[in-house]
Amino acid sequence: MNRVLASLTFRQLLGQRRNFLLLLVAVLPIGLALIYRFTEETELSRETGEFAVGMADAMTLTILLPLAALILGSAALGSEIEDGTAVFLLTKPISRWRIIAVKIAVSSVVATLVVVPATMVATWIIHHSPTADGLMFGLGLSTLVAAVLYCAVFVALSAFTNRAIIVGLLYVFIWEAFATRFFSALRWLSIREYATGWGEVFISSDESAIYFDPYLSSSASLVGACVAFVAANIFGARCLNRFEIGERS
Amino acid sequence: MNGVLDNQSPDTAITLRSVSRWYGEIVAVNDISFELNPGVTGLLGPNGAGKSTLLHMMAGLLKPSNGEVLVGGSSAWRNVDLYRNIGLVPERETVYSFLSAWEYVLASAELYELQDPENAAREAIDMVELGDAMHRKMGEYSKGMRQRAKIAAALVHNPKILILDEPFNGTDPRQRLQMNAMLKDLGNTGRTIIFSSHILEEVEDLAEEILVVVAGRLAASGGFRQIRRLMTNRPHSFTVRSSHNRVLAAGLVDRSDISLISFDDDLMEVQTTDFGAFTEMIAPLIQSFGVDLYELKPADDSLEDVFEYLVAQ
Amino acid sequence: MGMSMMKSGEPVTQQGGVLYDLGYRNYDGPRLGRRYAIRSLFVLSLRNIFGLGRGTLPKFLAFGIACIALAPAVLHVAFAATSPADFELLAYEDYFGLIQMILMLFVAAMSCDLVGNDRKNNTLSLYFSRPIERDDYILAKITALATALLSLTLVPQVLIFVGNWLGAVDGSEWLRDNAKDLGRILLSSVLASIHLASVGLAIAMFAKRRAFALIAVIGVLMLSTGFSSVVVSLVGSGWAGVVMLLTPISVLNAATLFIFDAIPAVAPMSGEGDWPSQVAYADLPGVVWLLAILTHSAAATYLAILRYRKVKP
Repeated sequence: MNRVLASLTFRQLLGQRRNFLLLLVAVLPIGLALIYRFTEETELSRETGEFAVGMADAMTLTILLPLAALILGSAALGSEIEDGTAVFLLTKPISRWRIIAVKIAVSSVVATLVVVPATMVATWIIHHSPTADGLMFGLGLSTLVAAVLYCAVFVALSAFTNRAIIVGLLYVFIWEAFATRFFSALRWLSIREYATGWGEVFISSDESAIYFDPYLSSSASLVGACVAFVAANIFGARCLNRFEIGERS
Repeated sequence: MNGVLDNQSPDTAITLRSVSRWYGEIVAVNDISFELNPGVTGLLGPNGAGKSTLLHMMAGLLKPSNGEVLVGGSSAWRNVDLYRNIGLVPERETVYSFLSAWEYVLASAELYELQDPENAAREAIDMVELGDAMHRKMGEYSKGMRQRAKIAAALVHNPKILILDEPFNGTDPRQRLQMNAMLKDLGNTGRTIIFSSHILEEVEDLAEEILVVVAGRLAASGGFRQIRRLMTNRPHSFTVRSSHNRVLAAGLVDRSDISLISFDDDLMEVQTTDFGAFTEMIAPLIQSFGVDLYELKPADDSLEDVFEYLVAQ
Repeated sequence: MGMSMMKSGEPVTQQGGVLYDLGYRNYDGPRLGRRYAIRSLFVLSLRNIFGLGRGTLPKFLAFGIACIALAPAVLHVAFAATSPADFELLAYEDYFGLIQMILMLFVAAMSCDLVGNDRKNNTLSLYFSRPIERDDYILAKITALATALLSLTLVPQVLIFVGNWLGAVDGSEWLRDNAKDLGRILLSSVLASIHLASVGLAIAMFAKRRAFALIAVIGVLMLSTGFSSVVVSLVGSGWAGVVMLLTPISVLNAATLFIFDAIPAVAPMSGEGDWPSQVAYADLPGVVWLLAILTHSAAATYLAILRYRKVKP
């Protein structure tokens, strides 16, 4: 039964014109990395590491990935609700949590496929050597966790309100891109920070630890990520449980 | 799938007790109570009367603001297991246009956790006669075909209860006959079927019992014939304008079968209990008074007025 | 009103049935034609942008964003009017850079509504069956959005001008010296408005749903700006020019600088630094930026026209 749900969601997500935007999201980091490689002649150094981390943090994790997750997460559930096909799923004896979980899983997989390889390749292009690939795996892991977390939050948001995209955009551009950058204390409530800290799994064992300095320690971000993920699942299921069919808009 | 069902549980299939539903200040459903039994029931009423709201509440997709909606003895709201026993055919489009009917009904069967989804899907598709087109994408279907696909998907798990919201909307006469026959058969096998419509004729042939809903209230319930009789035997009102209303009024007051409701220099309203006789005799009667008739209009022939009358009963 | 009298026109008899002319009203008045239709569409779009004729939320949104965009200018006027000496808190050419995010937000939100609502409600076929041509439709929308944007681009700059004037030691002399700035203000704000409106609408019309259009517009505008700014800091000045010429917002900023003759004279050695120095780094003759902004607007408009010629209502 999960297979059916997953396959329905996959087919809904793929083959849409909006996926062109997703392609852009994958291509930008690699393009930037290539430009960097061709213009800066620097060897593997602190500078390249900083650039890689800076790009991943400021561009990929703050803007690119959340936008991709917003597109996918709200398409996975929000479009169904808007189109009315959600009623097809909701009038089946499936627990609401299962629906949410599958939607999150599918959108996470697609988001991951789009962004994680791009991030890893981009990082590798900028800052690589046989011994210093910790940065690549570390940033890759952070991106993976961020993909799952953002998708979870946005799917739950779609179950909660049909203006999920506007709320999501406000969250990304006001909270993540702005407020948490200016007021560090707010980073305790930032999804990006929950994800970034995971990178230390691979990076702390590397010299590159000097310029990768996430705000939250790895254990704090581990806890934060798990809490956020579980909370999103529960909240989303709760909203679906109380789903009321709306007036035809 | 067409076999007769086992005995129903002692609870009636669907029970509504003092159910109301409002949206802010708009009351969509106003204190409605009824019980549904096996067989086909028609939910009749003008547009905006609250039919869809009622059906959605029965299907657990809306929470009643007041009262309770019981299906098979337990509340319909927040009851995921409810869906093992009911099938809903909504009015809105709920089909994935990139799927074929076969894939859609098969998916439905799998989501209902049936033991043999493929067989069930095949049977359901045969029942709605979509076998020929079942591998085409539903985005290419006509509305009637999509409707049938929806019905197949709702029937695939052999539910005891079937809820259809305006199923005849957009169907041509041939499709209507087909669906009619199919629903009758299903009703005869002991299932509880409720469908909504705002067209009398659709309900007439198919439904054994009718519930009439107007402006959120239950206006009438019972067999079709009985309601029809009530409707024709009601007093009819007319507005009359003539050159000498006074003369006319004086002349009509004496008659026992005509009662005067209101009267002023401009407009006069009369009521009669015998519609047929009245129409035959009124024109010569007025002529006999030597009065010119300007206007004679029935005052309450709309469905709403009829229902208003029924509500007052 | 006399319409209830049965007009005995020519009854058409056909096998016992009779038709009476009940006075169906035809429209014999003036038909105002295409120009009026275009004007009406323009006014309607403008009203919709500011939420007039819609709910409170759109009004709130539009006026809210406008207020935020005007706030720095208002502050400037307040300071300038009250401080004793010649005072220049804000420069005209910096203003668009300052409120860049607000502008992008406004364009995104409004362009999605303008093209999305007609698609969602399927009113395109209504429009295209009127005297209005397909090109007129999208041109009217672009013009309406550009006009609305003037409130965010022209008004604040004029406010700054007024503020400077009030704060000047010798009013009339200051006016003589700085009158030409008015021309520049007008040119830069008109160009900026047309540019943002056409680019925004061109992006928005590709998405099928309003919400995704929003993501698309904001995403493309912000990402292109961010991306190009990073790239410019890495590459040589030749490539920097190319990249900036392709980025809508950069072109807008650079053209504004050129109009106010404020491109830093000395080209920096590297592309790092704030956007004025990046413009200087690109080291292109100022006129090029002017041509670029016109080209962007023209290209975007042309794209929009092409698409609406092909779209099936």
